[in-house]
Amino acid sequence: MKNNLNTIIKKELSRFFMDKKLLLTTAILPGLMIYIIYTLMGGMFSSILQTDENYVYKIKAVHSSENTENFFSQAGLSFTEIGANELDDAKQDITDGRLDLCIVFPESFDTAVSAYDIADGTPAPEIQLYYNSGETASLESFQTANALFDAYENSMINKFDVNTSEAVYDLANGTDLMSRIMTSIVPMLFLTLLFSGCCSIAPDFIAGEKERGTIATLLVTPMKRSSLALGKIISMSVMTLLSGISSFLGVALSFPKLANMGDDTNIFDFSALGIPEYAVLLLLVLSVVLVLISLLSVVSAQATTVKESSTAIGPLNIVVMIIGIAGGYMGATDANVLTSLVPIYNFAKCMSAMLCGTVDMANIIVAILSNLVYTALCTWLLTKMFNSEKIMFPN
Amino acid sequence: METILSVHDLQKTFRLSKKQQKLEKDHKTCKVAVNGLDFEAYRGEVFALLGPNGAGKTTTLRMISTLIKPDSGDCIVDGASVVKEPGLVRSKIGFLTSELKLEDFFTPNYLFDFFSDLHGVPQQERIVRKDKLFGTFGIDQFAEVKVANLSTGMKQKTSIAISLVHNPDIIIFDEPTNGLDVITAKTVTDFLLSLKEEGKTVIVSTHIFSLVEKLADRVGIIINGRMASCGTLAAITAEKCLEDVFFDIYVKEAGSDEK
Repeated sequence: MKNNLNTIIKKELSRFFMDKKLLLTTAILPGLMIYIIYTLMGGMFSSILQTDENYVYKIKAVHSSENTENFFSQAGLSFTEIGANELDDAKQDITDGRLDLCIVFPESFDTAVSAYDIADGTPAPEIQLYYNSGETASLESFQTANALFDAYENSMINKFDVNTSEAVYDLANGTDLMSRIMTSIVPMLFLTLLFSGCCSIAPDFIAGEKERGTIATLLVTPMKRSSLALGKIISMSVMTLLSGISSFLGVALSFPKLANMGDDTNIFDFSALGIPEYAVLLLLVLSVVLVLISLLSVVSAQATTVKESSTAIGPLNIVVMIIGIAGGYMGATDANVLTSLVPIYNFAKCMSAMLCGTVDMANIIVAILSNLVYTALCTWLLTKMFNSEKIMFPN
Repeated sequence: METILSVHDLQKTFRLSKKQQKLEKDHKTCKVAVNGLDFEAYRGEVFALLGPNGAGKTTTLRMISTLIKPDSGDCIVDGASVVKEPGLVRSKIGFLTSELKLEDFFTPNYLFDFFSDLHGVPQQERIVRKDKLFGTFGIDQFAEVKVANLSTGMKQKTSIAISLVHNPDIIIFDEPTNGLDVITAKTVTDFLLSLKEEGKTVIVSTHIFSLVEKLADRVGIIINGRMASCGTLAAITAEKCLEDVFFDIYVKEAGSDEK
């Protein structure tokens, strides 16, 4: 049994590693594509949402006042004074992207502001800001000017201050932020990547062998059908893990570029996990890969062609994603050991909890052991299917 | 003569799919493929199952090789029952049918070693067998060429070599020369005769009269899942040629089925 098991594993892995096309599409391309796409997306977002650090906003003002000019210059902004008759040209320049912002003050703004009495009931002096929300620089200059005017307005009627000292008031740290994001996204992302790896392998290695007639050649040898089933599941798990690792590396390397939009906050800090956590995580990943691949093997064995198998697997992908999302959201708060018996959910739940720093070994052990039991059940079922002539030779 | 294969009251019925039911004249839901088949094969002989398409030849061979299970009856292969000891039966036979394919990605050399491993053939014995079989079929010069790039004839020769890695005493070939060119077909036929000379038992199924006449010591004529006639080739063709004997039986059996 053991020798035949090794022979099957060796053969399936040889097929995988020697088939350059399969190796490329399963183990290299997923990670590479994720890295390239995410990096490009990060670059695109960054260029869309931000302007160059050294960019100087092009601002014009009508009836500008001395006080506001000083206030703006303290903030590093300056504007060019234009006449009221040039306003229409300035608006056109904003529309065409040649100008970022045009500020129109009421005449004698400083005097009007000083004379204004809120109890009087008359409208306050109004500043008009013309900008183009479709242009990043224009939008940013509008937001900056708006904030400056708010600050200027506050400084004029300042009765009390909020958070003006240099103390740190926002007590959230990088880990909290990372946990929140990882809790909701990463388990589902991981499951999706692993499932994609399984999808590219299981139909070809089970239904494909049926379709090509090569499995029948194996079935007339004295090898036990259970060796064939287990050998296939183990070898496909190795392939899926490689595919998963490739995707994981792609995500890990590109995510900072996607997430870090110019400021220094990196929301994907893997240094928050230590070696023991990584080891447990690896066991957890391995156990869920075994469940996924054995489940897909059973579905695939039922099909007579690769196409039929892929069609049958499609809806499962949605189920796995939904379970992954549920586990991701519930994971940090769900300490019930019984829910760790639910396959796939247990992975998302435990991974989510681990990433939040709330590692509960009882839940993780139950999850890993139950996944091994589900794999054993699927292997038994696959063995039965290999023994069933109705399934293996339906015609 | 020592009986090495004994088939007793073998029965197999297939449930027809809805599509297949529509094709049947009387919309039957089941089809009896093999109906109470009995025959024996002796050590060192070539036994041919002769019959038209759909007669039940392939189903019979698939049951003997344990690919499918009989509904009732049994086959005893060198003392092992296909019903009770299918694993043991598989270790005693070499089976080849057009349904069995080799993986395109691998080379004959790799596949020979792979199947030798599955059959537990020792390393030294494997080398000798590979030399002999690859030499006989001229595979040695293509040993490192992927199956996908081999000709149909070379694929068939490789399949034969691989089905014999474990040097079985009983060799079962379903339509061994189907789809082969005349030269490859002659190589295969000559090889089957050489196996007989080595003392192996060869069971073949075919609908080609000339192949039976050239190869078989004994022949079983199978029509509609039943053994219509079984005996030595000499006895069956004592009065008429094999083709005439076959059609006489076929007309008689078809008539009795219609009644």
